[in-house]
Amino acid sequence: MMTGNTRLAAGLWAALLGLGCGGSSAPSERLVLAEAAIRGGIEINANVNPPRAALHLQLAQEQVEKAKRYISDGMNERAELALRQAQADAELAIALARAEEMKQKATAAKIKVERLKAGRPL
Amino acid sequence: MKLGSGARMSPRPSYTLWLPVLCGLAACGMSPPPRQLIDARAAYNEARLGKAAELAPAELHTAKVSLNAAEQAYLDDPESAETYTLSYVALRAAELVKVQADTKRYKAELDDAQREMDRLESDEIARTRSELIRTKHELASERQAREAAEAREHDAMQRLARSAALSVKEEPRGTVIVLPGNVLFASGQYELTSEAQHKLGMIADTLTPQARNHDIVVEGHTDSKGTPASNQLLSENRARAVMDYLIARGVPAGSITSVGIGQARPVSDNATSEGRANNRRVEIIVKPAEMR
Repeated sequence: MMTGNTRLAAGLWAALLGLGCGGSSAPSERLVLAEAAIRGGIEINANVNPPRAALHLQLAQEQVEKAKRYISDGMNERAELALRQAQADAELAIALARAEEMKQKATAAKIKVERLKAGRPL
Repeated sequence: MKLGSGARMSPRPSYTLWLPVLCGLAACGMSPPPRQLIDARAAYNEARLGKAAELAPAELHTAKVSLNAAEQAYLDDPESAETYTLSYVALRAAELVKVQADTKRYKAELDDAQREMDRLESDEIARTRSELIRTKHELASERQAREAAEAREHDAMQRLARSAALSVKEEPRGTVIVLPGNVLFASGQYELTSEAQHKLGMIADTLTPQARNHDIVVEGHTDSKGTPASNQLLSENRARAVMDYLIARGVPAGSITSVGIGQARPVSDNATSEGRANNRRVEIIVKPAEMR
């Protein structure tokens, strides 16, 4: 029985052979980019907060998993499209997390200003 | 070919808005656009008409390019998987523009608040510095005034020592004026002699202005002749007599106290008559101002 990694490796080899025979190649570069975007999102806690970012990061992860199955099955064009969607979702998740962080910083700074104006300790 | 149902997409499109277009397409025999494309168009327009055009023009352009690609794919093949995916990506790009515009707006608010904080803190620092300088000046003035007062008091004591022929000493407990017992009282008595009253009058004149800033203690001392108990009582009575006279001559009662020491603190040898004479004494201690 083939494991996920074995299936992916077999798929990549099949894709390479397919390329030699005139078929499309496995979107390995796009896969790397999508996975890097997801890791970047996790590093800034986009998988946790805000909830909308977590949802899009989850969608991205699901599309990457789907793409890997397509690659294993030699369906490289489908994999390419799934990875495009994954990339778009991951980038949106990262942007949402950064927006939330900036919003919290701005809110905290405004509270500090009000406290300074009122003569209260920060 | 479709890759997914897109059931989790948001926001929900306004089908009413696109209904005439859909009907037109149906009339032409063209498949209606995928929901992702409809949503992408709506999201892009929302971004274009909102703050994004001002705050994130480059990102808005990127979203437009993405939407154009989806539109072209739809024209090429309305039902292709590529059309679906490009529409999906165009929708995410439009949503991304709005989020990036929000981020820039928050960043601007943060910068404004930071500048305001810096300004308020600068004002606070300037105010604190000004208060510090004022306090330093006040302390310097107070120190000068205190030093001048101390100099005046010292001069007054020296004049007193010369004019009244008294011993005036500076000790850690304060300025000590020593009055020999034989000058003040008859032997074994505690009524002040006339000479004592004369000297104490001069002392009262010197001490009265200083009593505002100093505590004054009158101590009575005896030699060792007689019993300790009788000497203790005698020293208390003599100290009180001196104190009462000083108060009568103007020294504030709240600033002065008396205490009898008895024979406990001799300054000379009680075996000789000269030593005993030295031990019979009254000391007036003017305490330093900080010991009040």
